[in-house]
Amino acid sequence: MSGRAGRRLLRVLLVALGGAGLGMPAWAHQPVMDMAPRWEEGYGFQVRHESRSSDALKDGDSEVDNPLGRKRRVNTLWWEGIYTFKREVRLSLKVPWIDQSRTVVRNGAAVRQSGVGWGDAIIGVPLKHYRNLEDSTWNVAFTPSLRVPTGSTADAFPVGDGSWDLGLSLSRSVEAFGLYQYYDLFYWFNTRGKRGIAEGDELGLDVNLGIHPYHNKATNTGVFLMWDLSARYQDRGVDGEGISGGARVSTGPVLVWYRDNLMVRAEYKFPAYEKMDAPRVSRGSEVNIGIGITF
Amino acid sequence: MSETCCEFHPPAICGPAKCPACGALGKPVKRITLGALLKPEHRPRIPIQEEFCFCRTANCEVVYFRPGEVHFQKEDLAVKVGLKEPNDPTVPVCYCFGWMPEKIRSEVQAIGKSTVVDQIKAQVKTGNCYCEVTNPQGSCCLGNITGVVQKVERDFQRIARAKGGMNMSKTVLLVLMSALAVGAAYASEAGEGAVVPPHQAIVQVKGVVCSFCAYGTEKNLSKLQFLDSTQFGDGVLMDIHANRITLALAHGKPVDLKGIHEAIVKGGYDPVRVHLRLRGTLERHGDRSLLTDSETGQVFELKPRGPEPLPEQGVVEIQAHLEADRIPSLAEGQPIRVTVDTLEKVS
Repeated sequence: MSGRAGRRLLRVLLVALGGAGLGMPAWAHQPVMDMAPRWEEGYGFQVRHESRSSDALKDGDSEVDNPLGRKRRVNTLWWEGIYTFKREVRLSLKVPWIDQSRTVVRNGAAVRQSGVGWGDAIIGVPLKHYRNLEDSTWNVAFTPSLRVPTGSTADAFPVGDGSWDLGLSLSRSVEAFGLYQYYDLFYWFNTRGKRGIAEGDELGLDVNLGIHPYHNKATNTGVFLMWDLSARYQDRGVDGEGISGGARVSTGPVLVWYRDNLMVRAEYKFPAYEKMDAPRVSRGSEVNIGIGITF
Repeated sequence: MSETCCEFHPPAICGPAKCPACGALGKPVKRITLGALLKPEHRPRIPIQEEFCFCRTANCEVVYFRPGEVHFQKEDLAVKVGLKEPNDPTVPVCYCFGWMPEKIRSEVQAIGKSTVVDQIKAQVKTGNCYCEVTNPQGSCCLGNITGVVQKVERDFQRIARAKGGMNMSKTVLLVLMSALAVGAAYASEAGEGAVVPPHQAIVQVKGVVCSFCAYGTEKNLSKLQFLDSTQFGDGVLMDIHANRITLALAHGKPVDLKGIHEAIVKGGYDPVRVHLRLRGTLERHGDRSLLTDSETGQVFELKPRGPEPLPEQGVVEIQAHLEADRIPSLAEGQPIRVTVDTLEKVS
């Protein structure tokens, strides 16, 4: 093996180990990692904390009484790594550490369930076509992803579902100096997992639109302000909480600060629309804070 | 020593005196200034008086006068008068240290601000200021310099805002249009007109609009051995407003154009052209004009941009460019063919 090939393999392994040892998203989109690294043999890591909770019980698109106090809280720390072989081909790995709890109804009584541990890892291979123009750049990407059942299904509120799932994404991003756009249309083929979990397939659209109001070229420091819109439709299925499936749209602002190869992303999303296939706790508002670095 | 070289203030005989041609009030200037800056054949015409007036009006041909008398016009001077050539960016604003609008603009484009005032003040402190015999207005240039700097910086910020800081309604409109028109990224503006400061090269690059995204390109470029890493932190300055990368060149080291090209392409972007400033000896070899860079020994074949032929020989300073798509096919040891944008004969 040549020295260069060896170094490349070592970096791939480092990224993989970094991801596995540290940390996966059910998110198909990855705006920061979409922007970088686009250079050959570039690699990066991102740690992102996602927090959401709700005690609003919804039936269809209406909120209904929740006398037994059904609720859900999910905290996920995503450990993400990416390696760019060349600008057209990348490899990404996302692994979540999940700490979650919920109150469900069993035999007419409220029961608290929890689960902690590594969740299901996602391996993606973004295949991109880039086009650089005089003062803008855009790319179209096709990303096949595999969700691997690395998460345990042992807890009462399991952090994994025990299924192998296939994701396909078609995305497009456009960057000009003052403007950033990202569109991602994706589909998850969810297979039957363990303990009777059989989530329906999911269709999603993520849109990030942003401006670039500040950049200091002497220090390569700047800020993006974006607006995120996430739409999901999931086929009727079943999970540990009951009947799953429905449609939702959540949206909110995103702030990205960067300096050289370091990036910090903060995001807040609230549910603008939710329709459940059966009475179920709302997904609720989400707060995301992440930090990423590329090399 | 004072920070300014303006301590000398000639008697204000021009205070009430107006230019006989344009009627504007004149600015006092000493006889020594006329003696230094008039063409030799006009010097005998200088009246035996100590004080004259300088006309500051841009579109007035008169340069020096006394009340009621025109004495000397623009063509009588051996130098161009900066205040009277506002549209020529190559005419000095600071005659002592050679600052001209073009050079100031180039610096602002490269680093986002101008250091000229500080540089001049530092020179003045060391006593290297000779406004009386270099500047046609016979006095300190700092006021003029400040005006030019403010204009250049305002222009730069306006262009940056026009490219990047669009207002929200325009942004929303543009977003919607862009979202609907799949495949339509932005109309572009070619990066023509780069002015290259000494010991720098400027590379016009397609798509460099985000420094975080171009980190790998900067990293690749910063490894090139011919860069002066004491400049810009690592020898590389990304300018995402202008889609340019400025490289600080180490003295005496040949520029590796293939290295630049490879670093940018592997970094995920596409170079368009490389702008260079070269100084060296020009010689004619058959029908080819070859310039040997006096510092690096690199040989360039010069191609004139227009119909005007190049000088046969001599020491020249040129700004030239090379289209990036030709770089991969450059042959080792062969002259690098560049197109001359500007040429100044040094000797």
